[in-house]
Amino acid sequence: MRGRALLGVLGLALAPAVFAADPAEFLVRIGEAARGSNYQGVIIYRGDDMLETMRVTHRFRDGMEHERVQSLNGDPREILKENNKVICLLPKDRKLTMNLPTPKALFPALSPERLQQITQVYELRDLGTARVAGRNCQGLAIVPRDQFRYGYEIWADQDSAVPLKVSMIGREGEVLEQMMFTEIEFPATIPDEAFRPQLAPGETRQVVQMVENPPLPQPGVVVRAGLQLDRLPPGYRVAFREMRPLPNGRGTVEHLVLSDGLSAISVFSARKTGAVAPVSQRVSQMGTVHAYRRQVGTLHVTVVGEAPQETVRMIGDGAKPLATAEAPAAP
Amino acid sequence: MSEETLSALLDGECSPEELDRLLAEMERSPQLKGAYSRLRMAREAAEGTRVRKGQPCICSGVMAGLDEAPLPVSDKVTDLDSRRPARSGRWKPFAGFAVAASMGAAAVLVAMPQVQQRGSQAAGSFIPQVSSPVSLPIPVVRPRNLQMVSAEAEQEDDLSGYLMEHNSAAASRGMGGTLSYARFAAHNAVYRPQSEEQP
Repeated sequence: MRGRALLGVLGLALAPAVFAADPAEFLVRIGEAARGSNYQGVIIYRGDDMLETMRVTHRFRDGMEHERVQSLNGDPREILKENNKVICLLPKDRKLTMNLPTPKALFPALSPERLQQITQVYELRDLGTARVAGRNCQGLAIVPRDQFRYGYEIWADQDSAVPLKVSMIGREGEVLEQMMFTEIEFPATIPDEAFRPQLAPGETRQVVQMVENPPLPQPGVVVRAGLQLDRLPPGYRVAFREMRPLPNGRGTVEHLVLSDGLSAISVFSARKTGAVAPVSQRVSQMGTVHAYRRQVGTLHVTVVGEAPQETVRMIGDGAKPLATAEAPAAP
Repeated sequence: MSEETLSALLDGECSPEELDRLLAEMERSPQLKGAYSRLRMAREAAEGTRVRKGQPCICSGVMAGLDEAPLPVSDKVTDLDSRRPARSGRWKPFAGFAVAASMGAAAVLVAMPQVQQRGSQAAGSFIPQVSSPVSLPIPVVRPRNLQMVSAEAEQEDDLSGYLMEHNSAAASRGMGGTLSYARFAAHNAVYRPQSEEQP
C-alpha cells in the first residue's frame, strides 16, 4: 500500500506540470511546444465571415521544423514549410519558394525580454481547464491593460502545451477571430512521406506565388529617417526600421514595425517624386487589421496593424516629417 | 535572365526543366525575384482581375455591397467583360492573404462610391460569398476628375502593397498576434473602407 502511494506521488511529480508555474512561464512553453512538438490534426479557422478547415502535420526532428498545411475546403492547396523555406502548392504543380514570408508557427516563440514587454501591457489570467479536440487543456487569457490592443484566449494541451484553441478577443469581449483543432494526435515520429504533397502534376488549375518578399534595400540609396512618431500607445516599440526605394524610381518609403510583444503595427512613410496627388485621410479594415493613411506635408503616411482603429489613428496622427535627422538604429 | 523568360513563367509556358531552373535561380537572386514580382504586379494591374467561382475573397464583400447599394441614375450600362480585351481561357489565379489583399486594390476602387453612399451601414454588415463569376453593370458616367480617379487607384495599390509587406515583415519576425498562421493558411482577406475624411 505504501508502495502504491509512493508510485502515485512519483507519478504526480513526473506528470507534465504545464500550468503549475505562473502563467508567464506557461505562455513561453506554449511558444516552444508549437515549434518543437510533433503533431497532426485538423484545424478550423473562423475569421470575420469565413470558415476554413485545414489539416496540419508538424514535425520537429534534429533541430529541423517541417510542416504541411492542407486546405480541406474548396480548391486543393498546400503549404509546405521546412524551417524558413516555404513552398505554396496549388494545382497544376507550380511551386514558388520564398525565404521568410509566412508566420513562424501556431504561436510565436517568446524570449524573456519579449515576455517582460508583453506583461507590461497585457495581464495574464488562468482560465482553468476545459476539453478541446478530446484533450484536456489549460486556458490562459491575455487581457490588454488598455484599449489600444486586442486580447487573446489560448487553450493549450495539458501534456504537450501545444495550443489547440486560440481566439482573438475584442474590447467588448467578442471573439474576432478563432482557430481550433477539432482532432489532434501527437505521434512520436512522423515519416517523411507525410510531408510529400498530394497534388499530382498536370492537374487542372494554375498556381501562383502567395506572398511577395519586400524589396531589399539597394546599395547607393541614401538611408535617412523621414518620419518621427510623437504619439505611441503604451508598450509599443520600434522593432524594425528600413528605408527602400519605391518601384520605378518614384521615390523612397520608410517602413517601421512597432510591436508590443504580441501585436505588430507597420508605419510606412512614402516620399514620392514628380507630380503627386494628395492622399485622402481614410481608415480601412481587413478582418482584424486596420489601416489609416494621411498626408503629412510631403509624406504619405500609412499605418497598418492588427489593432483597434483608434490605435492606428493615434500613431498616424502623431506622425510628422523629420527633415534632417539621421535614422536612429532600431533597438 | 530576360523579361521574356519571366513572362513565360507568368504565362505558364515554361517546360518543367525551365521552371525548376528559374525557381532555383530566383532563390539565389533577390534581384531576379524582385523583377518577377514587379512584372507580375504590372501584368495583373494591366489585365484586371477575375473572380474564381466559389473563392472566398475580398470580391465577395465588394460584390455584395454593390448588389445592395443603389446605383447612380443612368440610362446606359456597359457589361464589364465587353470592355476587356480578349484573353486566353485560363484565369489568373489568386490565392493567399497577399493576393487577396492585392485584389483589394482593384475591388475597392469599384466599390468605394457605392459603399460610401451607404454610410456606416456598410461597415460590419454580413457579407455573403459570391457563388459564380460576376459581370458588373458599370454606369457610364463621366468622372468628376480623371486625375483624381487615377490617384485613388495608385493609393489603393500602395495600400495593398503595404498590407502584404506588413504581414510579411511582422510574421517573419514572429510578431503579429497568434492567429496570423491560420489566417495566412486560410487566405482570409476582407478589406472594407470604413470612413473617409478629406485631408
